Amino acid sequence: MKKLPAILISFSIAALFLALSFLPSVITAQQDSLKGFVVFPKPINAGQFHSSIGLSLTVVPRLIVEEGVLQLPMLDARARLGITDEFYLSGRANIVYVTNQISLGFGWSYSYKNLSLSIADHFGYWFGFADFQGFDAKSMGLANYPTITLGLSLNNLNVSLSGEALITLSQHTYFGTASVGRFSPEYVGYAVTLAVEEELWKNNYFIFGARFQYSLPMYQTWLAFSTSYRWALFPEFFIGYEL
Amino acid sequence: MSKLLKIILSMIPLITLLSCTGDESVTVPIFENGGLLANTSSLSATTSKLIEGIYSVESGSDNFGRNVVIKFTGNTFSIFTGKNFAYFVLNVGIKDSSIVFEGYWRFAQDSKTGLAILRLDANEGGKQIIKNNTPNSSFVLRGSFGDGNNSTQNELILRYIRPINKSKIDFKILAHRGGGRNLDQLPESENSLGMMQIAESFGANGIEIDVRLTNDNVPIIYHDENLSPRLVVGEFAIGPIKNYSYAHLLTLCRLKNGELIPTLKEALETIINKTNLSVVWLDVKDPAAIPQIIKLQEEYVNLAIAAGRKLEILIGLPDDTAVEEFQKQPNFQNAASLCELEFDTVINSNSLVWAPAWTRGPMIDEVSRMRGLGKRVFFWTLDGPEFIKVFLDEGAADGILSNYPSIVAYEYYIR
Repeated sequence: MKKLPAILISFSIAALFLALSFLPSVITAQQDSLKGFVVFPKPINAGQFHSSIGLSLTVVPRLIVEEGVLQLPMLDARARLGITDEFYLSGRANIVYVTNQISLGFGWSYSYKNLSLSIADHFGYWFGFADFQGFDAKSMGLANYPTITLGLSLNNLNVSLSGEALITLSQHTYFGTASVGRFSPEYVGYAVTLAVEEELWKNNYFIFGARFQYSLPMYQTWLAFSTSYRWALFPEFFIGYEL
Repeated sequence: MSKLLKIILSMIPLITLLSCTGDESVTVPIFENGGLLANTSSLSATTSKLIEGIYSVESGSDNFGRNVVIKFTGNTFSIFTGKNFAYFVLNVGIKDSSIVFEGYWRFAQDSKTGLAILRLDANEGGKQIIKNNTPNSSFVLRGSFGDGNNSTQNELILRYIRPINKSKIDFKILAHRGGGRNLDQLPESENSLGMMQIAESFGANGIEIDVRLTNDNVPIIYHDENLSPRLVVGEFAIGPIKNYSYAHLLTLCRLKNGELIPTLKEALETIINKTNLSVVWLDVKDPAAIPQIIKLQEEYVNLAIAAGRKLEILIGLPDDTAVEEFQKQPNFQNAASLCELEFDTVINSNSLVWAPAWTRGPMIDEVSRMRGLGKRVFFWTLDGPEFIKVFLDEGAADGILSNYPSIVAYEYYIR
């Protein structure tokens, strides 16, 4: 794939995700102005939509990149759409051209007083391009993320704690005229995420959080072509503005 | 807002705690009191070569796969496996017409390791090998392996099948950074003299080492631009290595496993006198070192010839700056070099080897063109077994540089 189409694909996906994020917000604006539930696992009404746009920064362990680039900043978009009063669809997109992931899934949520719980499963499709000096490579793959999230609501502050299992399903890598691929579902690690959603000023909600992924190398570092079978910590910090 | 701040502040210790990944090292297990080899006689190199071959794994295949490669590496025997990409490093001796192998095994991409012991019994091939007879399928190595310092947990039985692949080309298995990287928790530091001496045990017949210059113009072997805890121990040495004199470096810091940072002279002496390596790729990290590298190259090529050693010393040119400096040198065309850049630069530098990054693909047409001009092609730095297979299948490489020469060795010799 040439450079221009690859860039267009990445940014088209980001733009599409953003457009989809704004559209239901407009539709549901007259129904409900409540925010703070993009990550927080409280049940949302059917048709209700919550989304955010922001940035994330993953710190790549030296085990993978040695003296190379240690930080991976990415565009970070999230969304949640109520299907019924308990079930919802949710998704997340992380975009930075050389590596990108879009994950979509569904979940069930339950609330009791100021405590909430959700159980969800997401499938992630990731892809990346490297067509700069010394590289003529692209890679893509599928992963699965079963997730459980606990939430505690404190006035206008929603705190969420999530645990994810990380399962890689497949990967296909092209380098020059050659390629290799494999389909081998494998449990490769887990991640714990702590996030807070809060109204910082009138109806302006932000998400702050940290995700700690302890696993074998995943999509974030495909370009390092690491063959390490040692689990490593990938801390990720994110900030988002709820649309 | 105050709640949010409290939460963020409370996360800091958690982040700090979780960010500590540690820097554990793997200890090579050894037999107490020299093990069974303490009372054995030595085996000649000629006889040792006879044991090389492809062996089927009759017991132990859960860990090591169905077939393994046994290779004599000059001082030790190595076994390379397809499953888990393990390698064994074994010393050998003769006792009562039986041949005893003792040493350790290790997963190349993991830290799992343990002791291993094998025996070629007198009646199962030992006597015949000692008489220099060619092995056959009646040759059986029996023994055991275990985790850590236990050598007897699991049975290991290997039966000879056939000789290893003898290719028409002089294929080079090149070990990165003298044999391997620090992050793979090897028994010696990367780019150390010790590492260069064990590279053959990992399957390499050549090595790549990195050359930098101190501020008093001593060419040394060191990878990074800066001194950092990744490569050295020593509390007072930080920042660019070119800011230090060699005497300062010797005083202030040691490599990760406690070794001194070697000079290029020491490295070349070690390679000539203490190894059977046939290629050394001097990766020029500081172009200012090139004039001295050329002088040392000439000196040590002559010393190798005088010592009866077949050794090729290649000056690696990784970028335009290095090429420019190289081409400024008088008679640069007579200095054996390896160039990572494009076709024209390889030709203009009169490089003997073209060394492209593997991430550009096998580039069959370009490789054919280079070979047509009498150049060889080494790809760097190939670590993934599935990628290594592709390059071997395509026949595109005259050599592969890898952090895991044992994987290249398995995939190459098993063919």
